[in-house]
Amino acid sequence: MRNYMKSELYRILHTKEMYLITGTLVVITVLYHILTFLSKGLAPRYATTSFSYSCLVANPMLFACAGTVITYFLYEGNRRNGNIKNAAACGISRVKIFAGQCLISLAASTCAMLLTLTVWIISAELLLPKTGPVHLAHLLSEIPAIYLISAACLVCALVCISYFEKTITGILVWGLIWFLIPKIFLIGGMRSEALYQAALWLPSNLFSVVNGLYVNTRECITAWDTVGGMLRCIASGGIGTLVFVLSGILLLKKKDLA
Amino acid sequence: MNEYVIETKGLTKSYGSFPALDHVDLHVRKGCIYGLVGDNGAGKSTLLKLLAGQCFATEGDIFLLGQQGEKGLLQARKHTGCMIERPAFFPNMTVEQTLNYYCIQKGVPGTKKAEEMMQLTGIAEKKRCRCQTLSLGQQQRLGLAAAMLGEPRLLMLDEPINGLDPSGILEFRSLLRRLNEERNITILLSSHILSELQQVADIYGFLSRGSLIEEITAKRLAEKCADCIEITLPDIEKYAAVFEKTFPDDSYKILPENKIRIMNPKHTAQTYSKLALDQQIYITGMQTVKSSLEDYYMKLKEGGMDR
Repeated sequence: MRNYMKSELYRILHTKEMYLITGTLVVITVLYHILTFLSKGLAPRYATTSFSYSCLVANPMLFACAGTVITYFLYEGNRRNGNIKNAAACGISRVKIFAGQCLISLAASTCAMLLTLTVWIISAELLLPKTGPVHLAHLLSEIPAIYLISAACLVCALVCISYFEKTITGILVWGLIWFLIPKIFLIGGMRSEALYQAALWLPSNLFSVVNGLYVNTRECITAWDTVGGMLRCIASGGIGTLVFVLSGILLLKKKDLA
Repeated sequence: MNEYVIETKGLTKSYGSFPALDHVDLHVRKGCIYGLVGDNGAGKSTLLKLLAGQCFATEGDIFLLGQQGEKGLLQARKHTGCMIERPAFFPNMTVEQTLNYYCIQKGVPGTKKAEEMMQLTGIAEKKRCRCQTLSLGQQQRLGLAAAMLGEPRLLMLDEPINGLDPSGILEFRSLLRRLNEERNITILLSSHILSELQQVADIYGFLSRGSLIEEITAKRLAEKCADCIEITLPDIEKYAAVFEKTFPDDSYKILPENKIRIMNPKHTAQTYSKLALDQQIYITGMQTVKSSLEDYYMKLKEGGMDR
């Protein structure tokens, strides 16, 4: 598995995909802050560090989606190009390939996230006035809260694109798991308290208004404000990661490579 | 001692109710070039995919380099190289980067081996080219170079000459021979271009509709495909009795429709016809027949060949 991971790392460093994605995220970040800075005469309420940080603090699932996009770019072409067949043919088990892909995607996504976040914070701090209810501490404490959930989301994406023959099916199933099923649970929760409580553990509900969270220009109440809340985020992400890793092992262990 | 580098027992692969491979017993002896013959859809690629661990068998056992079981096969596959259906590469990586990537994956240290394989397969001049710009023939060379990286003891190649130009085919053929003779690499080669296979293989396996219908050595096949004379005459039993007495060194076979086939004839057609005339048996037809590998395969598929 170590050799497989090393080879994947070599590939990532010698191809342009990761540089392009990270570069795009960084450019968008800088452009966003420059535009906000330039428009401060028109909308001074929004030209603040608070509003800038609230974009990320109010939408933690953005981190999960960004990780998924990176995973998609790294591994979507694997089956089409047939590279995974070569890995299997040189005696690397499916489980090790899957585990290697999970770890490499997570490492690559973490690097991209850290770089983008650094640029986000520096450009916000340099260009915008430090006012409003959302502080840098909210953003920094969001990272441990969302990290495992993002990992679960990324592993789920990897399972979906590896298991389903068509990429579009994989993406649809991923969307169903992460966004539609939580809504269905929430609607079902109107009739059953147990279902409602379960729905609140699912990430897209965990970070929503239904869980009593408000991040706007006047207040900032996040899911990870309290110790209990933070633990709930970490537990939700940890359980999710475990579930999707196990699903991946079960589904991909004996999967024929077409 | 078991000298088979590949042996399968009752190997079966079904996709739903469709049996792509049906109880295949394959025997590939160490040091040989084994030609897997079959039409499109006969099961050649499925068999190679099962051996390479890209698919899982529905039933049956695989023995690879003397190892079996999940762990044993994974271990054995570290000593095999393969190229199945089409060479695998990342379109945006260069030839050199692709080979370095596979070197790392196979645990081959440094870049020396990649250089050596590029020279060996004749792709060195394209080392800085992106894989997506390579022609099919160049891709096949790259695929072979990648398969050869880990000093394999066994090479499994599926339709490797697809896309090669005539000089490329010649080079490829001599390369396979060299790898087999100089490095003692056993090669399992599949192709539907039988004339090509005929020039390199030592032993053949004929696949039809998922079943391995025959395994035969090149020598035995040459004997079976050699010139023969077919004579049609009314009293076949009388002629056969005299034939056996007169030409004890000749072998023959009685066919339906009053035909006798003289295999590897040691005399001229006139000699055999004179024998019939001497016995007052009147010949109604006589022809010289030569079978190619294609003919042999077609007859075998139709169940008409003497096995």
